[in-house]
Amino acid sequence: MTSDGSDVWVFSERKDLVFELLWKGRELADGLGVRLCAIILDAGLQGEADSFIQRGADKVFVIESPALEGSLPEPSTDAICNLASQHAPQVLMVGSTKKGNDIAARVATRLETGVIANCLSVRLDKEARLILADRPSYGGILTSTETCITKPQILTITPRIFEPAAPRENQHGEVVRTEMSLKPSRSRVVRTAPKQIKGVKLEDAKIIVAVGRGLAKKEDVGIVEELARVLGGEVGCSSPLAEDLKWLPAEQLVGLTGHKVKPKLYLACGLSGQAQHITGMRDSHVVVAINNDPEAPIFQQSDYCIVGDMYEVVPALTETFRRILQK
Amino acid sequence: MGSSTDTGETMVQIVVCVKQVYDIGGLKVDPKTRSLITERVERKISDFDKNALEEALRTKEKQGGSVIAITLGSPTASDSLREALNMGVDEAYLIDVGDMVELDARVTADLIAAAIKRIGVFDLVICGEASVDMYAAQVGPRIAERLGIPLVSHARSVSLSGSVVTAERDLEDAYETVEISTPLLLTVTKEINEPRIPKITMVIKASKKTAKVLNAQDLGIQLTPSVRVLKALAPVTERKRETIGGKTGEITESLVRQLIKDGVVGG
Repeated sequence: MTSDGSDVWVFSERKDLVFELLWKGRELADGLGVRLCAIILDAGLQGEADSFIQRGADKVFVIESPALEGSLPEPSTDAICNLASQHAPQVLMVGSTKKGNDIAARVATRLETGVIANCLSVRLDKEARLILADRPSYGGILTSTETCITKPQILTITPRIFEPAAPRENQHGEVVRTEMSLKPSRSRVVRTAPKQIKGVKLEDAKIIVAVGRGLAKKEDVGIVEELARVLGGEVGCSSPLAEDLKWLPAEQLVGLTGHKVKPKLYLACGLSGQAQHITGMRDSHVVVAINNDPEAPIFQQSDYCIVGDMYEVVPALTETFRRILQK
Repeated sequence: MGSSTDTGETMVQIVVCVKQVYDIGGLKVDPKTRSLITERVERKISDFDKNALEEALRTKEKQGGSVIAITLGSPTASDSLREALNMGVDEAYLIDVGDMVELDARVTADLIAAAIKRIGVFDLVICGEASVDMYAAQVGPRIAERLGIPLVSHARSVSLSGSVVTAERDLEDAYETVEISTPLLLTVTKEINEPRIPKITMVIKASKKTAKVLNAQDLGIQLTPSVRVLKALAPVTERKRETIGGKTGEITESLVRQLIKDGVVGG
């Protein structure tokens, strides 16, 4: 194990994503024979250093500065670049959030390196000692395998593609707390309006009933909601419904610009299956498609294909489930 | 910073970065090679970049000033500059990279930032929040870093008063309104506006203008990418693709039985 330099670092402003990054980070650090370090910048995570160590971190940097509050990326960029210039990590994995991607881009620019953004899988080429990562390209039509040949190799990681690291007993690690004098952001937050979140957690859903442009009007969403309710699942949708028509909120969007999901059952109703959508649900265990167009690309990605009108099939399916599952 | 007009409004100098992309909806995959078929597929300005152009033009129309569009690519990318000129931008620049295909976000942003510096002063740089093809959301933030200016990303509404920008950002769990003085770089969402469709009179007016060309080699940028694409193939998903036919009642009955058998519902 090296004393410093060439370590694997992870960072996110979200605790759940740090847990996921630690899971993969541990594997990469062991493969490279280096340490796994986590960076804490956000005030809300200051007390989490020990829990990160229990979940596999060898070292946790805790940076304290009033400038680090807020959503703009500049102070966090300064903090990470300060640390990196002292310790020279070889890998930095960042949770792929809007803030995470902003920070990764700025850090990479200052450190003269690259970012592989929104990775869907990550592995180590032991011989080359390089990380190989897959990410969607051309709107999800292709999966691109990429590597970053400059150090640190920076990757932003799509939420929920890794397991969260589980806490283990007798884990030892070092916590380094540093006060940094960082320049605050030039901006002033004048208002924060929380989104009306229904609490739908698509990533965690076991069953998703998804709907696409086959839905003729907003009010009709009830027929898929009813099916989801009978199955104890959640409702998802394609990008036209969430982004163009705004019939459903972005929190229910599955696809390149929304959530990446892998439920046990994905029921696609009146959904054509554009590549952008498929990218978000490709890893579902079983896929059922109901579409009146036999040529719809969703059928290529489905286990069970029903060519028919969703307005007829979906209510009938709800009734059949209700009867057979006794609900 | 912009200069003042007689009315006291501040003239605003805006640079918009646009990317030419394939029309994603027209792309197909060769089932044998699993690679992309790009022949005869139309190219267009990436959706959010069009919103960036529109927002720049509206800001200029309100406040006075100028809008410059920059793109990077082979000479075919100048088609997107023609589109930008038709919409009403004052000047357009192509950073000609010839047949260099392997350009990552790092080299791209370095070239655009170098071009912006060369072109001159600016108050605002506006980019789309991401490109519709690669969706990495890296180039805008990287340009901000290179220019040493703050980044306000994912703006769904923007207003400018004097030299103060008020932007509402669309974050994962909240809408956040920030105030910040120029210069800065904004990335904008699709929601921010409805891009104009140039009228024939605008097209005629724009036909007198031509895009200027900057040679990538002349911008003093290291053109070696950090990120290498090792392969890019359509992913393979093994699916049963079993069609369930019959009357509606029979279909739902056999589907439900099958899903129970597969262990994905019930129990």
